[in-house]
Amino acid sequence: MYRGISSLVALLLVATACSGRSSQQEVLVFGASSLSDVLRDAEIAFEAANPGVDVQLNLAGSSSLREQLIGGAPADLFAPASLTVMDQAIEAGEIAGPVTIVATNGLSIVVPSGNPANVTDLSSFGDRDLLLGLCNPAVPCGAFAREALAEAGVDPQLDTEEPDVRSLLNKVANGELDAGIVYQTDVLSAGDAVEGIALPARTNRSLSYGVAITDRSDSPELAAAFVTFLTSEPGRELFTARGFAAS
Amino acid sequence: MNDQRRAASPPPLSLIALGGIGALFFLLPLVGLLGRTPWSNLGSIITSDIVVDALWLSLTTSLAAAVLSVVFGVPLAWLLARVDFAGRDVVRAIVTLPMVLPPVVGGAALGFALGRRGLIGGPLNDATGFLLPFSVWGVIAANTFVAMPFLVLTVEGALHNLDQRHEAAATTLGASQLRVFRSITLPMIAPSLRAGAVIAWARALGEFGATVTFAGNLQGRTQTLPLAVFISLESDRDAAIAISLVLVAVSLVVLLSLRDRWWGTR
Repeated sequence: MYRGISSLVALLLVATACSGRSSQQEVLVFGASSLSDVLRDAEIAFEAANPGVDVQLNLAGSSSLREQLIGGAPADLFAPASLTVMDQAIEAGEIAGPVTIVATNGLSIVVPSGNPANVTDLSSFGDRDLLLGLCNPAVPCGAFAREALAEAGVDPQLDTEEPDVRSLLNKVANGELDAGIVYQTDVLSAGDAVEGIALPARTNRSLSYGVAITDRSDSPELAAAFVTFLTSEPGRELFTARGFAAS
Repeated sequence: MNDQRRAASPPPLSLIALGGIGALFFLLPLVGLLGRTPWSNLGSIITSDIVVDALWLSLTTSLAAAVLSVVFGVPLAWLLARVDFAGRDVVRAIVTLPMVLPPVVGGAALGFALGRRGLIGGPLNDATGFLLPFSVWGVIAANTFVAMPFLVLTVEGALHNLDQRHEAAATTLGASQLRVFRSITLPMIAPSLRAGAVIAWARALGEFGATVTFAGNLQGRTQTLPLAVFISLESDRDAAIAISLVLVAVSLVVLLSLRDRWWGTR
């Protein structure tokens, strides 16, 4: 019995050791939810161009990723959805390299396809009878959306404040919500399930995505190569294909 | 009896060592939480609107989920234990599924069934305007979904282990099945029923994934303590830790006070 347990423990230890990160060949990217699709595209393209390299993605709400970084998570690259969050990570001493702006995005109202609740513009977010959602104010999409609503003079009557932009988008795509405010690129990524309603230029803004190498990166050279790829012509094409404006 | 057992011989060292490591594994995170707790402004954080709203919502919805679990779960457990119907194993597997399913998946599935465009939720909303998601009822539904399996499993186990001669005797004396269930079976499984209800309540109190996926997150309406912790982690870590402490304290007080009286460990 004891021998059985100790050999099981030994087996587990060996298994953990084998699955440890093999240095130099792996880039771990902490990317904002709104970058999910384009980072997956970039992963495939970069791995195809660099055999033996493994790009790993950890995709979540930007502030959640920032907290994981501060908590000691082993990332090589940080790509949040707002420069404010990037600044917070820099202040916390988590960022080593310069911040490279890779793309810009904008906000959009999103409604289920067919717009069943006849949402017209930002003023619809003041309608108590509609089911409305935003991202939580702690994540960039929630902060930006509230800025836009404040500029339009609308006091939003919300039914939910979602933890990240993808969960908000899902609830609109499922028809659970009548409208939400997400990134323009999210409207594109949800395909036929949703429709976008553009914000007027004066309430919308250009949102920049910065990428930076973390302070704890095991493979900063490979991480830098991935950033170079993102800003190269093929990389820029991936961003524009997903609705971003490449910079 | 207890004293005799204790006097017999000291417990084996190997068991103490392994069991001790097991206990440390649970104790250390708690110590870590206490070490990070912002004691100086703890008072102002836990009396803030966010925490008071979330605490009240968590207590009421988890209690409601425990009650619903008993009302529907006990008859379900009885059917599973005592009636040999076709597909019983499949039903049992489906009932216990929420215990292994990621709660987020459970929440999404609840949406497909009870959401605004769901199998039942759609027609219900068309007919009455009633909607589970984004309401306190949605939180209760999500809580019950993840909590009830624990009660069903506990009670079904108790029914299997029950000496059925008492029930048989009562039946022979002419009692109806329902009467036997009420006056013989229920009192005999009472300790397990209470334990199952407490586990179901505890599971509902800690529920996160199904709630946020199915019911959303809004302070005062659907934001329970676990959701408040998750959201605060991203904006105000001190608040998140303080709320976690409230959750731990509430759970410990209830589990400790019920353990001796209800779980029959004495």
